[in-house]
Amino acid sequence: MRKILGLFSVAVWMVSVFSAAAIAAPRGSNGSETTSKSSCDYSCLTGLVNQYLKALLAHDPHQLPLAPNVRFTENTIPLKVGQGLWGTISAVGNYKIYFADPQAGEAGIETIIRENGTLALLLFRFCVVNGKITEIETLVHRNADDAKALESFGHPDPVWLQPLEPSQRTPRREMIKDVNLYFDGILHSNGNMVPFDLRCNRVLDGYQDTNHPGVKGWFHMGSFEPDAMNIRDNMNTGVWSYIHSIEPRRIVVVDEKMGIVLGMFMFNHPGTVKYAHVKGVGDVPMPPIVRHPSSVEMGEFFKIEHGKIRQIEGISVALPYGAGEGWSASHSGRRGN
Amino acid sequence: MIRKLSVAGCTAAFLIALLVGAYPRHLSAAASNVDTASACDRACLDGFVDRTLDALAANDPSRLPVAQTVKYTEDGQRLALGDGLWNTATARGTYKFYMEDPAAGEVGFFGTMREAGEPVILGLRLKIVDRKIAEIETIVVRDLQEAKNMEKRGHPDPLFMEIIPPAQRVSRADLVRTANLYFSGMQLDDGKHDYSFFADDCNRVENGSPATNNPVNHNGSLVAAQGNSVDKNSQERSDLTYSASWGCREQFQSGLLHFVTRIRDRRFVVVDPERGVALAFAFFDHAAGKSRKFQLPDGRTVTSGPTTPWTWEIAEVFKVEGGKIRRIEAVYHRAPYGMNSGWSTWRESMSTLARWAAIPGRQ
Repeated sequence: MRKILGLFSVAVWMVSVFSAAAIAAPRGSNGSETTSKSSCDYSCLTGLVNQYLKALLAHDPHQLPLAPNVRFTENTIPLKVGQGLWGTISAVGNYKIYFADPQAGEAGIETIIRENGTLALLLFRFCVVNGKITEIETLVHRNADDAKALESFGHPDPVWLQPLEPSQRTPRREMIKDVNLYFDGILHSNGNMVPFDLRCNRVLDGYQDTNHPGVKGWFHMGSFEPDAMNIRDNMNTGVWSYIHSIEPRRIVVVDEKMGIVLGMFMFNHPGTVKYAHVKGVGDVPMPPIVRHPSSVEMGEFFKIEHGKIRQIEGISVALPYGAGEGWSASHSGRRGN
Repeated sequence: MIRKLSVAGCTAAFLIALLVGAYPRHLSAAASNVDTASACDRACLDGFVDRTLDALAANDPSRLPVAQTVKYTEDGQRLALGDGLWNTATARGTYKFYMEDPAAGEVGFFGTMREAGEPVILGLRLKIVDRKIAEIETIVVRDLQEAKNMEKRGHPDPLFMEIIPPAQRVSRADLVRTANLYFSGMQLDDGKHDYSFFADDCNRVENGSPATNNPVNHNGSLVAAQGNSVDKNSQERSDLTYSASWGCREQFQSGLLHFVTRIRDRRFVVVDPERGVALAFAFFDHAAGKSRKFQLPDGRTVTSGPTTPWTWEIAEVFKVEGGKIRRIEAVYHRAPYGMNSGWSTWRESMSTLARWAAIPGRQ
């Protein structure tokens, strides 16, 4: 489990275990604003995603229907549209997973790009109101090795590309609740409380850390191989106990057609946990990378089928400890006075 | 790379913008807030640093005399006092570099600490008001090799501590102005400006390693970390890179620092005319877009520099003597592109103007 970090473990302040109240849902999740956003349907939204990629490659934001007060962040930092990745992107790969939520007017994509020739992972979402893009949130994972690893998969797992039959679908609120339970499960080292489909695999920053025997992940120790376990057993080991909080949690896209929930989640690691106490194994030392304070913003998405989490994927951006994500009113759950 | 003068937009409670060649009209009024902070001399300020480092190592901020409104940031993020490094520090380190500004009640420190038993570099600033700590700003460079390099270096250049004869001292404003020429000269460097503000014997140290006049290969310096913008081994000027083996002035004259597209939020937090020392916190942005293609002084157009956008969060101290920069030392690490310091408004954080504390009668 290298630097991925997405997923992971204990502590609890602010988020109550069985409550989905601590998670911020996208507009439209309660059925409101549906009418005003529905001017852009599913194909309209995915078309805008393609238009966005084209404009990015042309380094020309003027090709987009931007609202006058459009808000743009890259790796949580507010920038002007046209800065950051807009000046450096040189190619977009074929690996693409789209998300669209006509009810909320939100859409996004995970893909592989090049910046001045260097591989990177890109995940963005935007909000469309009355045909104009009002918000753009971009995460760029600038690690060529990780991007190459995801590229080596060749294509997204087929579950991401398969629309759900109506009988396979889960109500929006239930989809969001499942995702929230996943993060509660990390914080409590309790995979039993999460509605997993045990075929579920997790791929973060190009690395699969479940059902992946033979690799030496962060916590590999002797015959203890959490990366070889299914996701429920992996979570139950407690190796994610260095994660003190996952806050804020924002659900930004609920794609009912595909059964995908995309969210932005801030993982906070104080760096104070030295060992994971693993039942039947003993104390498993935490790797040096989590022995100092750090925060990680994850753009993470979940496939929900028949009310269960079928697959997880996402990318991360390493940040200074306590960093805000640029979109929540409180700015950060770790702030002092 | 001198910027156009302008008075507009210079605000802030007591920090004022350095406008090269002119001073803000509201200097005196802006300075009044500072005078009350001056009841702590050099030994007093250094003592506060030591107490802070001891408290950090003990993971116990309650040992410190802090103002009720004390504000703490770590790596640009506002945290509760007691969070972050306060939980993970395990001991003090051996490298110690104190920088005092008794007139402003500010003190800076570069040094090493232990975190989870391993060396880290610490850049620290304290503001003391009425003998209490009102502000604590830290940059923690978590790079084992660089921290080891700093400790191996042993101590800062003694020149930083030498007293400037009274007759040769300059005003706070002039001291900042000279130091700020370094930032302005590096930003979008084209090699064509007057770099006579560098003394002939100027040297720069970055995260414990020499970044100028360094004949040997080294890792971990700002220069080395600029990706493909530097040839660490080169003794000769190359087409695309500058070398850590060159001098301060030669590096700027090469025009190869062009990839530093903006140096912003230049806060000169310690200004010490008695020693000719000025310490600034700032951000170095690397846009990595169109700025990668530029023209060298000899007319050749080259493509060079980082391929992705990023920012250095940096604390950099200058020794200025006779109107020239003789020594530079910096601690820094990588930050998200465009990050703020936690001590500036957004407008200030995007500005390339220098700010510093004005003191009545010591302009």
